[in-house]
Amino acid sequence: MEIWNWYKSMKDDVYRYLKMQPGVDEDIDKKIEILLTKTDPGRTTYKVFDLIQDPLGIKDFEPFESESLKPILKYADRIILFAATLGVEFDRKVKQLQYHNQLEMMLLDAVGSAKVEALVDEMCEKIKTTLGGYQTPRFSPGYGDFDLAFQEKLLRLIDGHKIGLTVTNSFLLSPSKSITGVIGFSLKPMDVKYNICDDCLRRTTCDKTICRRVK
Amino acid sequence: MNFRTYLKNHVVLLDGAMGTQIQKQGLPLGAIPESIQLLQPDRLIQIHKDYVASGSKVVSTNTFGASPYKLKNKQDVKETIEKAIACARETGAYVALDLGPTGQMMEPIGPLTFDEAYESYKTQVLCGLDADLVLIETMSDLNEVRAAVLAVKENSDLPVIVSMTFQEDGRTLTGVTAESYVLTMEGLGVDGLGVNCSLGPDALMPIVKEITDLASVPVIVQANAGLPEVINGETVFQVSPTLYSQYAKAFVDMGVRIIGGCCGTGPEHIKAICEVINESYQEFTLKEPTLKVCSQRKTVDFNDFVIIGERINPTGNKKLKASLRAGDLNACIKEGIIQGDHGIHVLDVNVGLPDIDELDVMIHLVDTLSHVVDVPLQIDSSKSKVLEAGLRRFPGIGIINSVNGKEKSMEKIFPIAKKYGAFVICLTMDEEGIPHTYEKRVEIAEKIISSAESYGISREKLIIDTLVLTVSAQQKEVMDTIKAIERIHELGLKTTLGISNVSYGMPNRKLLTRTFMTLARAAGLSSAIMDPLDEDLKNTILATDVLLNLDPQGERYIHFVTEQETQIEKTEVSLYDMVLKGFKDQVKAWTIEQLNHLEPLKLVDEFLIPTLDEIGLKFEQKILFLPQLIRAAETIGVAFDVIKSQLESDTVSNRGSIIMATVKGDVHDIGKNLVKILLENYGFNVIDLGKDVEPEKIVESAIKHHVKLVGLSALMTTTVVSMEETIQLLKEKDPSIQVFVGGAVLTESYSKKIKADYYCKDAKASVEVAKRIFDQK
Ligand code: B12
Repeated sequence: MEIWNWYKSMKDDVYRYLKMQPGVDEDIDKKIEILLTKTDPGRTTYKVFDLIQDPLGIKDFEPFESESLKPILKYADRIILFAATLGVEFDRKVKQLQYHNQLEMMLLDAVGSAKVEALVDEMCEKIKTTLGGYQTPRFSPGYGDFDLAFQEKLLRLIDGHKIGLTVTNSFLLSPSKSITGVIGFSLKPMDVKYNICDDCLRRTTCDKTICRRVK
Repeated sequence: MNFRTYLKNHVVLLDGAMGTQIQKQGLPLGAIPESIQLLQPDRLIQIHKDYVASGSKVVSTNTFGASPYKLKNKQDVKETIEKAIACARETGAYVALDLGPTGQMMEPIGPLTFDEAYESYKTQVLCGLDADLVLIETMSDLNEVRAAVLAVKENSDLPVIVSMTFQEDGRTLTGVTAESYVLTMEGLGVDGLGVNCSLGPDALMPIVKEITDLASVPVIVQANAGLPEVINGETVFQVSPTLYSQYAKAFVDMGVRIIGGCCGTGPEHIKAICEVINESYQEFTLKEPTLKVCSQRKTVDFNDFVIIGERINPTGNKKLKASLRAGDLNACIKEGIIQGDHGIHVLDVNVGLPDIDELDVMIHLVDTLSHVVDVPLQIDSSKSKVLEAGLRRFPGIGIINSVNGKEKSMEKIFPIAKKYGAFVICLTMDEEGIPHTYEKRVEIAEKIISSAESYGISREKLIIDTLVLTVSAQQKEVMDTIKAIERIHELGLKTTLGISNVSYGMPNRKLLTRTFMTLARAAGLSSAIMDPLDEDLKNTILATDVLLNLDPQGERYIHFVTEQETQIEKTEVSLYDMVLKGFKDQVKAWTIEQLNHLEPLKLVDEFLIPTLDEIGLKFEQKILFLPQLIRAAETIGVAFDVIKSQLESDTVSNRGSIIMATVKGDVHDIGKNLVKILLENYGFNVIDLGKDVEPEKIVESAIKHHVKLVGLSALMTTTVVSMEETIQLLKEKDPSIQVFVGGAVLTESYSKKIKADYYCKDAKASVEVAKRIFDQK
């Protein structure tokens, strides 16, 4: 993706999280612009494993117990496990603003969510240039019936601690602006049709906070 | 020869990676690497032996992840560590008990408390007492390393070497600088320190250089064999043994004393290093330690004037007192952040109030402040237990405030200062009080210095406070303070003063204070405990430094001196527009002006509340968006603050105690705060529990303070439910407690439905209720 488009889509996301549009409030637009350019870029890491179809799982590892993953990984023969984080400094900044600037805290939070998504998009592009081949849409623990507890195993398998990512006992990521997930991979084109919301197993009960991809 | 003695006169060759070697043994994917000592100890022994055959003098046990947090209940910590040591012992080399991170993020960013981290490391250390040394490695969080070091030092006599992991930007993943790391670890008295992992040897060069330049203890380096590269989905390291050994040689030439390898290095790398470094007996020249105060990211060296922010102190501050009593630390934290934004170099933290748990509050404040404020902390208490607790949690080198010339004080304080490497403010008074003459005060200072030195504390860590007396009471002695500063300064020591004391009881205090500052600075004063929000005082320091030739070319003066506050131009914009656009300064000026001819409550009722209503309406109609609503609320908050400071009465409240809270799930607290101010004005003592308060907390607090009346606020249909729950719980625990409620969504009839005793439509009504309850008897 072109740099400019990439930046623009990140900015669109910020306004979507804030449930407002650019051009309504000059002061807020300016603040968002500054936050977008100022915050740290973050770090990513990933590893590629062989994928077994039946039962679905990483080769030499326990099978996945998830229906949601099946349609996504159906045509893949390898699987990319990835993790991305904006790091501790981001959380520290939010913590600081929490005590004396609610508006900026809210804006920064939205910017952080958009940035970490964009960071993963960028990583996928990079993987494409190094590995070639085709990728499925990415899927994270917590979406559909893909157990949040997998985050811990995932981080162990790819040494997530090397980018400073940890998981709490209740399987939440710390630092908070972080994403882990899986991507199906194959050298052949894969015919995966998965609409992240419409096909989700939780579409009827979702409060739209788990996966931030609601359009 | 024990390891400590060996280290004194040798360059020490460690081993290489453990993880990669175990991987080669065919460890199943995702399995715990520490399972090998239980399942296949022979293979582990072979790995160790290969390293020793290649030249390693020390082998690290396979216990990097052998912590209660990582093993969970999958494997026993004790067995894992004991077996690992037994395997390493088979080689005959020195055995290093290897400790890695817990894998949990520390508070306040993550869930792990300092004590939990300490306990986890303690468990490991107690299982590993048979080792020859402890190696704490691949660490990112300064406080986690500190917890580990303390766990080793408090539970064993083993030498301890620490190693943190740095990124290309010269910091660890949690933002710790190399300088802060070295200062803090040397302060704790580690036997060696350095870096490992993350980067290849070439990229580590600048960081290692920085550390060898600073450190006075032996430096350790264990680099990766280059940056990991993903080739065909496999992680590979590219630096060959020969190339790695060239770098190792360069590190040793830079002064590194303990060398080995991290990820991607194997016995071949160690063998290559062994061939190029000199491991024979040598005499090393020892460097003097660098002594500075520091936080995780900033150091303070006292070369330039040091401003110590004094505003976190409940003495004489009603607002802080009240919030501390209610168990609310936000006001303190906010004071810290604001001072941080006003150019302080050190932040003093004092929470001394007789009726609170000072130690507990100090711990929590230090935890948060050390993350949201960049500068080092000064722990200020009359209780040595509180001082120690604060220093223990502070990731850096802090300052103790204070010790004095009394034997008892020195006996208590100096061991703490020594243990944590802290600096100490020394008051020149003793059993007989504050001496009248400067000579006597200098004498006491000298006594304190020699006592400190007998504890092994360098005089460079002492900051002498020659004590400011008030000019209104002891005019004759004011200059003795200055003369004492002059003498102490000549002795080459650091000094400080609580500068504003001088003007107590006089009109225009600020003028006297800053004039006194000029005299003190000219006498050589190196720091002051002062109000950093006093711009004139800070400007005075800048100006004085130019005149004293302490600011070459007036560089700092030109850069920092602030213009007199420019008069905020009066705009014809309406209150609504000012609030909506977030013009805080204008709102403040407007409110001050209105108060000249309007009663505060009238201003609230006729201007502020209607403005909020209008904004709320626009929000409801989706004309305004949430970020705009938030900005408006923050802006109008400035007006409420001005009114609050006007209304605040100094009469001691004793008409009766009332608890106030905004209920669980609700953050609207403007109304509640208003009610609180008014009640306080009428002489009631209000215990404010804040917003979004759990029912349990409200009940607990009501019982604890024997309160008869509880006020609850809720502004949303959704949170009236929490209000009902809270009332129910209160009545269950103590039916005699009366509850009065308010908030825009409530009505008289609704309040009856949720069993509240009284409904108040506004703040004035709340006073009537309180009077009725407390004054009838
Ligand atoms: C300012 C404001 C905010 C600020 C609050 C800042 C703060 N620190 O308080 C912010 C921006 C944070 C905010 C957030 C939200 N808000 Co809002 N907010 C308002 C607004 C505009 C003004 C409230 C106010 O302060 N009024 C002025 C004070 C002085 O009046 P008062 O609280 O009623 O208090 C007086 C009396 O009621 C009484 N009183 C009050 N409490 C008590 C207690 C006792 C014991 C006694 C005796 C008397 C008493 O005395 C006071 C003085 O006379 C109102 C709209 C409105 N006009 O009420 C919406 C409003 C309350 N918010 C609303 C909403 C929906 C929200 C959000 C959910 C928005 C969102 N999508 O995120 C969040 C909620 C967050 C949460 N979990 O609580 C809705 C609630 C709808 C409903 N009926 O449930 C309202 C009504 C706006 C609307 N029309 O849509 N909000």
